Amino acid sequence: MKRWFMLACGVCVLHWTQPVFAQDLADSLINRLGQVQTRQKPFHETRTLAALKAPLESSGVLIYRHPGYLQKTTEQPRAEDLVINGDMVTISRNHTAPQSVDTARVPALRLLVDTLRAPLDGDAALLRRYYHITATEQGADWSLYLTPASDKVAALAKSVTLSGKNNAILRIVLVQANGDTQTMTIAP
Amino acid sequence: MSARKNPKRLAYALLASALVAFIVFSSIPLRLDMAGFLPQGHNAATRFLLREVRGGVAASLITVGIEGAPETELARISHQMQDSLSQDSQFLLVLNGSFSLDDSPAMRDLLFDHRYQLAPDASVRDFSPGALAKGFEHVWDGLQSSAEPLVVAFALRDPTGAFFNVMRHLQPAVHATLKQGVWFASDRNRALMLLRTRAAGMDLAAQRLTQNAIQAAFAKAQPGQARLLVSGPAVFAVQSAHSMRHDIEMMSAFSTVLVVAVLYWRFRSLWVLAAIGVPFLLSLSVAMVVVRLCFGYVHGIAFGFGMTMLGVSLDYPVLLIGHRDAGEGPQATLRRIGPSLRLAVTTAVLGLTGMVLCGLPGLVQLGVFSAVGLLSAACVTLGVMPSLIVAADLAPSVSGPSAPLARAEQWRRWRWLCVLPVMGAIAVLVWRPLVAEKDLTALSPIPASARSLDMALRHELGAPDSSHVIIVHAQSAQAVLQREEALHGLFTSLAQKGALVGVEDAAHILPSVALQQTRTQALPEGAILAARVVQQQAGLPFKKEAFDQFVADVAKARAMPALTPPDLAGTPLEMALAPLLFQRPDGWWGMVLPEAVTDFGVIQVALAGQPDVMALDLNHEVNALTAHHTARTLKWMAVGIGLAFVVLVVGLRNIQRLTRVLCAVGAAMVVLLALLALRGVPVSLIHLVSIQFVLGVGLDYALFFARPQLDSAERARTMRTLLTCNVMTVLAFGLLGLCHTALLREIGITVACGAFLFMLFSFMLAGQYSPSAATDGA
Repeated sequence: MKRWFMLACGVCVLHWTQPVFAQDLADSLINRLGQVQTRQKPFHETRTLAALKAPLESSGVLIYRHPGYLQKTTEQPRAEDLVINGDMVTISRNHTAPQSVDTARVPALRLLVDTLRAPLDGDAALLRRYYHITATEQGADWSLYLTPASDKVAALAKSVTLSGKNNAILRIVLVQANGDTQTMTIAP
Repeated sequence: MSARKNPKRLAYALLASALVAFIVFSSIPLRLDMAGFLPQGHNAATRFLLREVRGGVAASLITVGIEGAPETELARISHQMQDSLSQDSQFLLVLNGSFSLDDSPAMRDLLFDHRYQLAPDASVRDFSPGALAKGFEHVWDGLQSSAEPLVVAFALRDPTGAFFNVMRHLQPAVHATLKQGVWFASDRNRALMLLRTRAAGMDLAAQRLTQNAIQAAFAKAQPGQARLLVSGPAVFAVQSAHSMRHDIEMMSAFSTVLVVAVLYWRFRSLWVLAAIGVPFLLSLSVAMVVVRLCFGYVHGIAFGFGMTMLGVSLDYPVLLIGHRDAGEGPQATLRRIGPSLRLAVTTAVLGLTGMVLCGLPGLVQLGVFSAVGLLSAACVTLGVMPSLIVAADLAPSVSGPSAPLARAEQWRRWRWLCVLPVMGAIAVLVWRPLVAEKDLTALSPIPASARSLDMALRHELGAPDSSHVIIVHAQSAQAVLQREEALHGLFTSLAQKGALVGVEDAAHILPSVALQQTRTQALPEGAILAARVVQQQAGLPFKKEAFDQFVADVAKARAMPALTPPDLAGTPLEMALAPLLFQRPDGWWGMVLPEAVTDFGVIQVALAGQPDVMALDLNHEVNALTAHHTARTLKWMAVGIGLAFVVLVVGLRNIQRLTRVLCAVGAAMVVLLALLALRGVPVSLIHLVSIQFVLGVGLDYALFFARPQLDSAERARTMRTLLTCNVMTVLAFGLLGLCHTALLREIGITVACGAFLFMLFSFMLAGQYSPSAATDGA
């Protein structure tokens, strides 16, 4: 009974203080993610597209090096290397010659890159340029909810949800403006 | 000096001429651009070329290089400059390689909507079952990529890749490599940009502002140690106008100071300066007005040259005053020197025939300016001056025989020694003959170093080789486009033969209406396509309705009106099309720029039978143009020299004096040519007309020295006066030799050297040989 009461109080406190905390919590969460210098984890991705009968599944390895370097190597079902380094995005499929794009010139790509990389860099300010951020935390588990801050961003993404444990990101869900959904699960 | 002297009339005359000069100078502005100074062309090909290549849209292109810093730094500067310059409305186009469709949503939508009309490859319009199956397979592949969010919207509506085909085709054919997202020269660490200004290339005021904007954008990017290189016709125009203005200001100030100093040294009288000022101001004013009337404008170069003519046209009043004895009546002096003076004016004006009749507007203007200046100075000297100087009783402060001058005359004893420099000069000419300048750009005020930088930047950017161009002429834009399309097969076969790599033309950017219609008519009907799509996507993971939008787009394209040049307004494509397809009073013109030409002769032969098509080799045409004008100049030079000779024969009527004059002039001429040969600078039209001009001036000296001189006082007067004239000419033209404007500099050097040589040889050879002169006046 006493424990139950404590929990109720805790929920109340959390509930009441959340609006005040949210800003700080999101910042401290993102800041904490930015402390990790290198990451290398297998991932599994599921994409649900309006045009396709069944979801697309793929898997591979995500490599991150602080700051600004992110590599997504897809191994199954088709080999593909996506390297985000500084402003440049380089993609090579089926071991063909890589193609480079300058994100500064392609706003859609820039948004995609920043959405994936800014949390890893611990750059909350950059994320806030595109999104309103809310955060929740329960023990070691946390979640960040990103919703578009402008019509321009809304034309490209409906929402982004990142969740994880401690300083590991375990899941990223990106809902595109047309409703297509991309869910990436990363090994702890 | 007489006490009766009354300089009041002289003062009024000076005041009046100063007023005239003031009114003329303030009402006739100077033109400083080079457009008016360059030739118009002597046939259809060169006229077109000179008009379009120099004054057309090509003239508003500016190439920019950034170097001297690490690659990442250069790329950053390039990006920042692009950001600031693309917000500046003075620039129509700011390219640094990082072009993106997102910069121009209007163009992206236009190209996407019209993709089936514009795409050059027929395969993207192939909607046969097999092609559709391949296309769907390709879309499926794209959707599996990480880039899927970017491609999904386009890929499902365009399974055969028509839009991609259009875009790839429109990519500018640059040779530059893309590093860090921007253009770099492929063989050196230099970031490259290409700008097009809104203002015309020859609009100097606007171009100055745009160039300041470029410098400001560079400074704003905090370049550190990096260097900015800016080049292009507009840049040259601004630079040359700047240095020309500088030259003119320097000329005006220094010539005046030098000439005034020499005259004061000679006459020690401000009234003499005032008297000489009258013909000078009047002749300059008359020349300005006449040139303005003949040409519609006065060019800065003509004016600068006119200021230098000061040194020559002043010879006449100086000769008049210099030969006068104090107290002499108005006609007494004229009687003694009148015939020689008139002869001198005639030969000097005949010395300008080459310049006046060479056909190059700039040089013609110089010639007319000089001729009118000389003639009016002579008229004022002969008509107005005598009464003025008599009223003011002006005469040289120093007169009478002089021992040093008499001793100098003794040198004539060794006049045979003049054979030595002449022999030497002939030897030099044999050993190192004069080289003729074939390139008319020698006339251009652009320094060679700037021209080679321009070449390098253009080459690195892969800007089309502008030395070859194929011109298509027709009565409408559509007719030009169709004509160009009809030529494409020919160019493909030429490319297979290796004569060129490809061509850039308007029809590549925007096909003719007829071609667009042919393309859309070949698209299948909606129902047929829909059925095929359903059939081909069976077995693929797409939902039934995945390609509905594609089918709808094709149906729409079948009914869509063709895209025409006005539809491109406001998009970057308008800017791309402008230099390639344009309207002139004589119809529509299309420019086909061949890329990487290896054998233009083959191309010319292949195009020979084509109506309304001209294949031009710029270098060849320019050389032909130069040859044309050089031939004209030489012809009129010969006529001028022939006439001068006749005038001399008639005027002198004395075989001995004629021989002396011709020997002096001939010797000076040979030595002058040898000096030019030794200098190593190829001899151009400019040198030819300068030589002829100095020949005319040099004849003055020879004529005056050869004049029968009765006593040593007269001889001393002649020597003093001619020395004054010569010093003025050599100084004024020597000053011209310091100009930055190549044209003025070459004239200056040639004339200054020539005038000195003519004076020397005239003194030695044309003067009377009088061993007894030393005792004569004693």
